[in-house]
Amino acid sequence: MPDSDDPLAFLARPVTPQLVDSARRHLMMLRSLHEDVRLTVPTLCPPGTGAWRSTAADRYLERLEELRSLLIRALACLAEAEIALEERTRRLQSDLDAQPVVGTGWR
Amino acid sequence: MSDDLTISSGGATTVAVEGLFVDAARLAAADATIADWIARVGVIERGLGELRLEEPPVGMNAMFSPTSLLHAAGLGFDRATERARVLHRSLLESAERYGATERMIDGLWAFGAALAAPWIGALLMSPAAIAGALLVAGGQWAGSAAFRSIGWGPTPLATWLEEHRGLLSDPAFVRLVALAGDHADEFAAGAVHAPLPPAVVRALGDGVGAPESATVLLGLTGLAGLAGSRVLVDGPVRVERVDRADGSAPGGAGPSTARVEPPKGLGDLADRVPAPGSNQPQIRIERYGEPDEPRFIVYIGGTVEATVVAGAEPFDHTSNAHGVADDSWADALRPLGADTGATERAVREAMAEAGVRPNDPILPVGYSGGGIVAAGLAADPELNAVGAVNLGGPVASAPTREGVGLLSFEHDEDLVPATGGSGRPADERVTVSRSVLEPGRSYDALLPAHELARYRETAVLADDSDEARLAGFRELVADITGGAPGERSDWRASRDLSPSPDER
Repeated sequence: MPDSDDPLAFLARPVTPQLVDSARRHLMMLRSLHEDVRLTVPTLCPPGTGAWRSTAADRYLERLEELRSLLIRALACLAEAEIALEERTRRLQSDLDAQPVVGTGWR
Repeated sequence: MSDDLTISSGGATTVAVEGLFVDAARLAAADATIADWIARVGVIERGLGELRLEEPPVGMNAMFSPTSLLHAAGLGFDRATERARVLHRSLLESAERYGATERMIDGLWAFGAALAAPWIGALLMSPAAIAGALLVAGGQWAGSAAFRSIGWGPTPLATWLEEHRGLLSDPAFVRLVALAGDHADEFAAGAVHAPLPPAVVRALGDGVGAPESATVLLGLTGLAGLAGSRVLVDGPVRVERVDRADGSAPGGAGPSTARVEPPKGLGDLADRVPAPGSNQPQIRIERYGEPDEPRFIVYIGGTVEATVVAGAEPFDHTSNAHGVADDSWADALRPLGADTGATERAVREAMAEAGVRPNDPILPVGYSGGGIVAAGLAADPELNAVGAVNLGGPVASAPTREGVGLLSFEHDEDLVPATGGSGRPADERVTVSRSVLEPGRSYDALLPAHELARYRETAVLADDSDEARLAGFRELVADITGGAPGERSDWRASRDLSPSPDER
């Protein structure tokens, strides 16, 4: 349930078990992707041993380094996205837990 | 000397060191991997968008929303994949430029050779040059005899040749030899002062390469053969199975076979090619697979006798010359002499006796003159060769068969592959070259870059490469052996020197 003090609360969906499950499912997908990227990035690019000696080869090595940096930055974004989604899912779960349970007490 | 391999394809326009192709392949794979990540980021991002999980930042961990961070990751991957594509394209363009430069240099050499060959031919066949050559040869012969008689050893000329044997392994000289094979016809036209305009001679030269030159040579020696000469006159061969690589005849009841572990790659293939040696088996055949569906690797050794006079040893230059000549359409027109080299006939006979049927998959592997045979078997439409490996044989002009790859190892300083000429383009031919000699160092062997041991080293280096075409040939080896042990048989061939029934 949206916080009544939140001025943008009307934008968010009501917290339901389905919403929390969906968020959790997406978190698992994101974790899996993050893990794949984390394990693959170190070996994805050619090592650039510098076996060729020329200006063009030096430029090639620079470009390879830039490619690696781009991948590492993207990996960092994935890591932060995972933390943010974990946090968001946890709060959704808290919101859900805080809701009165409908139908309890029925005998 | 270097451990770097240079790889070129006969029909392609790219030439580059093996590492460049490996990097290009890795970048292409990286591009595909990153594209997959981009797609996965998109799925998660869209899914989270539909869940409308956006909310104002609360605490440090929520400075940015999951979707905005995912979007940033996606943008980073977009830029990375673009960068990988540009790098991949740049590497291939670099290989194209390398190939174009090589072709331009080859073209300039060929143009110069085509222009110079008739002049050189005419000049060398002039009376003055002939007289000069006779004087030099006579002087060398007389001087040699005189020097020997008084114990002075070799003449200055012989000493100079001995001291400069490195010339034979000079890459520039190797290139000259390749050109000489291609331009022997222009040389001959000049030598006999044929009244042909230079343009006609050049046009003819384009269609006449080393195989055609060898055919003409064999035609001439065939004529001399009518007068009893055995120079480059080939003859019938026979093969017998021997028990082991020591050449001993089979003992007990019938020939034996030995269990053999499957070769694991190109280095193992090169290691199993019989080393040239007198009275040693020159052919080794390994049989793999089920009894009713056998697959074979045929190893063919190199030249044993470096002679042009046909003797009992069929692995000689007479057979090599026939092997190069039968790569030419013109060889079928030659009325005299054998149709194929003795080596190839011996290998085919050994294959038949080893149980190879026309449809059985075979992988021929040959060194030096054996490489010519391996290429010939691979191109034969009546056989089911899945590929072929040549170690230092002159196969540049050998025909290939569509879909049957020919992996040719050719050292930069090796004269022997150059005797096949500059070659004709073919998509199936992949040439791996490497510099194997140290500049300025002297070697005991006459042609050190041609030694089988050095080709074995190069094949081992090729096993370490991730280059796609080399990896493809390694897969061929795995396919033909199935990864299981096989049976080995060794074969010794000999040329039949007995007179033909007509001569008896």
